[in-house]
Amino acid sequence: MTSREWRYFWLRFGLVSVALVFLARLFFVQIVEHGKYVREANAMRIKQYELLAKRGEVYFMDGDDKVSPAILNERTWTIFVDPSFIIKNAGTNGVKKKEVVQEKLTEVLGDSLIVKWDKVWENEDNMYVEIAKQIDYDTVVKIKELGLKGVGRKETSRRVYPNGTMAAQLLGFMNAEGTASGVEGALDKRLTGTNGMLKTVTDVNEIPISIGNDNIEVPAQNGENIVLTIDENIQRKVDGILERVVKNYNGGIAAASAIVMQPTTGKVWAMSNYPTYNPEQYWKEKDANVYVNRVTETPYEPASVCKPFTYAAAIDTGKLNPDSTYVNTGSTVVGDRTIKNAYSTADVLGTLTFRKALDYSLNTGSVEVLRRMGDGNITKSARKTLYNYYHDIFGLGERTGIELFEAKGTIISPEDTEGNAVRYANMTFGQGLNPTMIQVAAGFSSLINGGDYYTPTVIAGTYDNGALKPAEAKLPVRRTVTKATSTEMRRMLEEVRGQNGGKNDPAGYSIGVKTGTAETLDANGRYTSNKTIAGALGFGGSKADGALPEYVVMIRLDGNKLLWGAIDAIPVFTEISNFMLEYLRIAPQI
Amino acid sequence: MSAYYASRRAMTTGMNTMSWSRNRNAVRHNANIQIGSLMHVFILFLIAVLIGLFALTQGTKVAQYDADIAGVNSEIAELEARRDALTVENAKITAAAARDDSNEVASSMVNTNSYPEYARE
Repeated sequence: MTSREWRYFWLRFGLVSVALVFLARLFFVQIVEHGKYVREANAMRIKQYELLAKRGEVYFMDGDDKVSPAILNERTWTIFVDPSFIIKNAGTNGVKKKEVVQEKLTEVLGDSLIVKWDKVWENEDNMYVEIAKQIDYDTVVKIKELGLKGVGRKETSRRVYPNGTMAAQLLGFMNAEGTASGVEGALDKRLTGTNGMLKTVTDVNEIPISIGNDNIEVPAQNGENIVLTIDENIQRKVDGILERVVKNYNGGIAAASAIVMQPTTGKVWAMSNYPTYNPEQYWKEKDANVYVNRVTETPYEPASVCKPFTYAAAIDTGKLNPDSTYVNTGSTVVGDRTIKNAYSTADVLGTLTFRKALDYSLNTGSVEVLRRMGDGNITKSARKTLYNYYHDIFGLGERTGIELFEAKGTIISPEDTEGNAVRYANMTFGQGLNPTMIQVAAGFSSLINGGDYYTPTVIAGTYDNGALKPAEAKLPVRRTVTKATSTEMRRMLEEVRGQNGGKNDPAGYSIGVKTGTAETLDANGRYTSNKTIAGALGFGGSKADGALPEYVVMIRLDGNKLLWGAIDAIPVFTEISNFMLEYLRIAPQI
Repeated sequence: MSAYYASRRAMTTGMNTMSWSRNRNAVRHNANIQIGSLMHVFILFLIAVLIGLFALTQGTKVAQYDADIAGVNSEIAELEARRDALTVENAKITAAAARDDSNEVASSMVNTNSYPEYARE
């Protein structure tokens, strides 16, 4: 070969060698270490984000077909600073000095700052310090306009209760640990959606780009927007009445509760408790009892408001004619106990009809009713019959199935050694058993609506895209008493109302009520009249033939002193009842 | 560049036969300028760069659209945040107004506590 050919040879040899080196390296990188580099590349360019599901909102009804917000979501932001970035880059590329950042943020955030600035700048290597939480939109806009580098924001959310304290115990709240009360807790599964996922290739600014086959998007499923059967107008009214009454008693009433429901559907229109709290600032409350929805969660002895159940049981089993008589001596002996009447003036002594015994809420009368069920004695059979009606038929001492947290309560079976004649005599006038208000109100609704027991409900439907989607109408779950018994009980309770505030009712309506005054247990476990629970349970509606009651109202006032159902609870019932007649636009029958 | 030769109807010869093949109309050229192996590599490199640039341009265009989409999404989020804030404010004001109305009505109503009642239990 000539020297020229040699030069070509070596040049070719060199090029080929370099190419081979490249090829070898490429083979190593692309084939041998393919997986490793793919992983590294993906880690840099593929980002995975969690798409947060929006928690469902809660609405009240506002009349028959409109809704009104009860719990909304509000976007809030956590504001943070990057001290390391600010300190190291101050004065360059528009990064302000830490003193300027501090001054401007303090001016905008004011009392919302949650850290002292000394602590923020303490560690110069710190890259993330939260300085304010739950900041609203307007403030965030102001911070954004400051254009401060090294200051960031992170979106969060909080629950807002536009009506403040209204129906607070019913609505409840969710604390930072995720423990919730009220609707927030009981309907948590429906309110909580399912988070989605976005896996995407991003550019250097972490903006998702659609290049590549690795993009996956699973949309978030938002929680359901739930509409409650609670009518905001009724609820507001009842809340206001309870607050005024408790305040007017200047400490005489420790707590007040009320429920208003539709007896022919089981829909709850109002569920109110006082004292109350603001669920938006629940942590400010010192007494956790204020969170409790006493209507569903606190069993108690309802006293004489239970008497209609006793009478209904006896009438329904054919053991009692309300016009039959007994001799009232003011007291009656059962076992080793003497049971007395709370009302014992001379005008009610002697021979009375059972109708009159209920009018005057005589304990001797209701004990005598139990005796009639046992053909003259409080037999086990009589006790079984009463237990069957109280527990199995009217549902006292069993959870109703309402979509809220509820207590079971207690009712002693006649099979139990404690289920003796004395206890059952007491149970005829509502002592010695512990149902909740919702149990009593639901059972009472069936008693006066013709005998259909509806599971009480607080859910009217869902709200989506501005439209109310009503929940499926609930059917009665069982029969409780015959129509005849129900009609008779309505008539008897209307007569009771005549003796208990009936003069304050507008003319032309069917309104019935039963009051109750429950003694409470003192520190030694003995019944005392120094502190009583006053109650009223009644219905109202049209007087037209065949018309069923349109509302049931139940009141419970826990006294710090002796309170009477007929004195202290009846005015509350009257005020709510009169409001309901007007609100439901029930026509009077004159 | 000049024609080197043109072949038309080339005649093939077999063992004892002669036949005319089909008309191929083939033209062969011989370039006046010869390029070497380095130039070949360079041209191939240029082609690769052009194809790469084309792909990059298309990719950048997609990325630009994505950036635009991200910008629009950000604006949507901003407006939604504003809408939510206004919705909450509106609900609070409406509730406060309803409370005021309710109090006004309540204060004008007869206080039923003033009626005497009788204890019946």
